[in-house]
Amino acid sequence: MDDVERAAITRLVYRRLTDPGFRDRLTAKASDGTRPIVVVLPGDSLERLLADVERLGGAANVVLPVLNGVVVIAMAASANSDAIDPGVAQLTSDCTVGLFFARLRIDGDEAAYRFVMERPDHRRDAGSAEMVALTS
Amino acid sequence: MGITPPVGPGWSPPPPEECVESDSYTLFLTDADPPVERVKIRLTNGLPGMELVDFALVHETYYKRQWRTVAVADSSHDNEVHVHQYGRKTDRRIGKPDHICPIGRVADVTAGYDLAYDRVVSDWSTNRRRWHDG
Repeated sequence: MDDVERAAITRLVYRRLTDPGFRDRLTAKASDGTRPIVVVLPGDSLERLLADVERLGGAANVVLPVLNGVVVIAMAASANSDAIDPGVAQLTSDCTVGLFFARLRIDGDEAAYRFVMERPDHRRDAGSAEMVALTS
Repeated sequence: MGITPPVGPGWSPPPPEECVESDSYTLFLTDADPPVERVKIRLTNGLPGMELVDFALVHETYYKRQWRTVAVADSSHDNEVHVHQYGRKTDRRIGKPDHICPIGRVADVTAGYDLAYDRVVSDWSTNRRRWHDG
């Protein structure tokens, strides 16, 4: 079911790309100059999303379905947490994208976090992400 | 000031100065790490109405440390939307373009863009196999 929903949203985003107004909302740009698009569902793992953003070049336009459409979150992620202001909020990344989105709505349109990941080998690693746009 | 592209046979995209071209947007087709299959999308809208007047979808596969072109759907010539298949051995187009739909008016470009999704994004694994054998 998740795959069907993800495919339907991907196709919706594909169609909406024809609208320059929608394209303007996809502000995240990867290191190669392209603008990656990642479709997520509320139940997806945030840790998995952060890994995806990193593997796609460090930034991605994350599309999440909400009640009456989709929201786009421009995310940047890096394994180098030293670049992030140490005063930013620290979140555990073993939550869902839906919970993360709820936190973003509280914190406002621009937010930066330090994430703590619990890896299978018990090595704790840190990452970061910044939401730079929230549109519906 | 630009005008809406004319309707009828012989339709072609308006000149570049009457268009707005998009950045390149990328959809990734698998969860592989690092990514190995992607579709890059570029679109052009005509001024002043911002209708879609041109597009290109490029399916690329990461093979032997290089992004290689597998298939390209575009609306740029011959008054039609079509798909070009590429071959692994030559990195060139193989066979004749696969017709998707004719373009007789500007709305056909949007219809062709929608149909191209099925041929390039939905059918990516078929295109990938054809590329590998080509």
